[in-house]
Amino acid sequence: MSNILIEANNINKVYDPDLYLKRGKNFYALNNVTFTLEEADFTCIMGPSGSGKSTLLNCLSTLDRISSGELRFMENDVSAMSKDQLCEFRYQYLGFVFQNHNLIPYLSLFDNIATPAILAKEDPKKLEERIKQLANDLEITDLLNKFPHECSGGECQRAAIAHALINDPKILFCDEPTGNLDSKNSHKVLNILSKLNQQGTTILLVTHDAMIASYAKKMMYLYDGGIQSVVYKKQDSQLDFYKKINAITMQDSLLKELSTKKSETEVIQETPVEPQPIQPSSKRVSVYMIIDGQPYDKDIAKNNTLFHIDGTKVSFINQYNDPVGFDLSTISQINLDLTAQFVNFGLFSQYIFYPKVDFVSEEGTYLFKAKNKDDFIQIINLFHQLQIPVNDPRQIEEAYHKYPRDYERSKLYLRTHKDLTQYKG
Amino acid sequence: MLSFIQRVFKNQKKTYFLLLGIFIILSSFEFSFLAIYDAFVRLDFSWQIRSTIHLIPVIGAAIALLLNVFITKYFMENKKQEFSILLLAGTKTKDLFYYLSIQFGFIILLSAIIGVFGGMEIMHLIHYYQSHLILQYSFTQTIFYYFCFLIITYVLILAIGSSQFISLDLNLAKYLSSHQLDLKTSQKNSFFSIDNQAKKPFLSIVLSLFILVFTFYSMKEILNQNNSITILLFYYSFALIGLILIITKTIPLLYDLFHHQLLKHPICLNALALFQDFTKVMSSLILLVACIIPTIFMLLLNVPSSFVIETVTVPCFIMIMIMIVLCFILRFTLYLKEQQTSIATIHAVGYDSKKLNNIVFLKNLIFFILGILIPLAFILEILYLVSQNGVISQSAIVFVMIVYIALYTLIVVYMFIQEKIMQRKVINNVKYLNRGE
Repeated sequence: MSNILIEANNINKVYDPDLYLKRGKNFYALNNVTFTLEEADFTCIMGPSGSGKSTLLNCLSTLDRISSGELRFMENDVSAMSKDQLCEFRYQYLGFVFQNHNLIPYLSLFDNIATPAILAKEDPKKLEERIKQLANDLEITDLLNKFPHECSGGECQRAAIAHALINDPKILFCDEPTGNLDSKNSHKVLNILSKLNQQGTTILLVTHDAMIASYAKKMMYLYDGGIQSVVYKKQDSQLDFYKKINAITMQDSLLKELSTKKSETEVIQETPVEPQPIQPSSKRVSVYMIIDGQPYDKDIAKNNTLFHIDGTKVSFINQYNDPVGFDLSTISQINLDLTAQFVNFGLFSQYIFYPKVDFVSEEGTYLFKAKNKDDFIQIINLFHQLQIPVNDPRQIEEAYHKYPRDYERSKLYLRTHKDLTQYKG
Repeated sequence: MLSFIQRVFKNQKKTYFLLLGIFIILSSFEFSFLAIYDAFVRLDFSWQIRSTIHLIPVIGAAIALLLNVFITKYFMENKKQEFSILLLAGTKTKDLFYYLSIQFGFIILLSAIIGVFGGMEIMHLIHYYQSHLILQYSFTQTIFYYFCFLIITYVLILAIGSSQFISLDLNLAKYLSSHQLDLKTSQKNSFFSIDNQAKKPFLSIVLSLFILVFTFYSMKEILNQNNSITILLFYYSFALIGLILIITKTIPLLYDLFHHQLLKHPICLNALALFQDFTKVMSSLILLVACIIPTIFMLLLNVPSSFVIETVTVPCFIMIMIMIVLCFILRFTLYLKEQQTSIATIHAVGYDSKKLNNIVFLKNLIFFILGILIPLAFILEILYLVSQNGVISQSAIVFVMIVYIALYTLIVVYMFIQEKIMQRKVINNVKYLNRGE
């Protein structure tokens, strides 16, 4: 079983402080992105300008904070870490390669490469040997005494890669590393990255160039802050993978040119063609449950993973972007619970309550968190119609009947479920 | 073209007002220096006193002129992209020349006119505080000198602009690129080599040790009252040269020689490297204080005691210090902008706020010792010598020192606050690392 290094669940990055007051139009740089990065992955993120590629990279690499959602790094919740803890975390586990190499102009290449490593205060001789070895692999041994302005773009970028690798990072984040390079140097750099990946380094790379993306094992195509497509290389050759990538990127641009604007309903109601059976997992998935054919809240649907209920068939997209599902007729019991999320917004800070829904079957229990508001009562009614026993110790159904509006229910929960809102500092 | 210049002014009001403000202050001081010079030309003193009291305001006026040009040069460097876009749009180099003449000519003319009034006001203040000496200067004559200086300033600015236009014209694509590499010439790491068989620079080490020893010896000998004036000047010159070499050469040499050991001390390594970079940027200003100020006081050594000397020296010193501090603050502000990406990068690789603060603190401490304390010790020595000769009263010396310390405290506080603000801004915003979206 492969190690999961990064797990992102419904992460959003909003560039508008009025997210919860809804006074203005919010700009979602990242819109409900669910993503998993495993060890030894080489994932490439592509998309048009403004699609959120660099924003996603910055959020996943802890350089920027997400607005909402869950982001876990090797089981650690990133949002709970302080700035200093994040610094320490980056130092221990992460490496960065930027488009502009970002070498410090007043340090020689040797010192630039050494900068992350000297924090460990290791023996200078050993450090020197490691730097020499890296420089040898990257063919910059003769340049170690030079300064960034004395080197070419390709040489600086290779020095930047050495700078990123000196601490043996678990993950290497590359934001358009070949953006400023000619094709010869670009291929040199990508060959180096491929070799590193073969040796076990996990790489997450942002690019807009399909040829650069073809060096990866997986390509994620972003559009308007969300993941639109995922393509795997698997056993294909680099050329075939390049063609697949091109097909996705070309399709996107051609569709936008030739077709009329799609309605929001059409976009949202894209359901997977053949959902695969879901495996029970200990991870709780955040979803917005909708019954096909019935009205739902489009705003919530836009920002969350959709959990489609069509008769007894359930389907949704998992963190690997695969369509999965199960049959409600196999469910022996549904356990309902409640969870509270504190939203920190100054004077307007408040707790938001979400129902937790556990589907118990013979194969195991499927865990979900429903981002539904007032319409969740329809879901409960459906469970009753299908005659699935519902275990509801917190009397959530009664709360929905007594207080159909979300605001009033929240006040009730605050009064009656204080255990959910106790400070867990 | 005029409407374009108007638009540029409108959108960069803050920058232009700052430039205008600094030019006004420099022009006012320049007028005062020239007025003082003119006043003393009319007074009947011995040739020894005359040579000194003429030279001091002339040095002051020259510094004001140089600082005018120095500031304009840095403002013009920020306008490279503006000029290159105009060239790209088809503007001829000749037209660009007119563009520059109008833009800067207007500012210089305006500041010159206001500077006259400012200078007159300063002269009134000097009269007010130095009631035992009336400095009668000829307004016409002073305006003539002032106009000559103005022409020289304008010509120098146009010369700098021309050289920039020519280089822009030849390399237009480079300046239009959004990813320009920093072309500062940094200190070559010539002594450090990862090749263990490289020769150690023994000659340079011996020379540096000699410089260090002889500088401090010279500074000690300056205080020896038995030395003749010639020997005193000899020691003074050595001490001055030694000081310059210590600030500009010894620290880089130490960095290179002890580089291996510094790899175990990330704070020291980064602080020293940052200090080297800082010194290169601020070297002209640091050397101005380290060399010109002591020289002004050194000129007083061979002069018989006279109340006139104090009347001239103290205001000139204060005005020179204020000019240097203003230019320092401006240059430092531009320098900080250049450091943003470096600080963001260092933070991204794992240096937390505490380590960054320590690096900056150590850099500032080294600057304080080498750029402020040692020159201060040097100036104090000269002042002591001068006070022993009775040329300047002890109260004047105390006043001069208070002004020096107050102005430098202002610089240090300003540096500290601005660096803290910059760090906070850069750490909390990912745009300083990459293009971002």
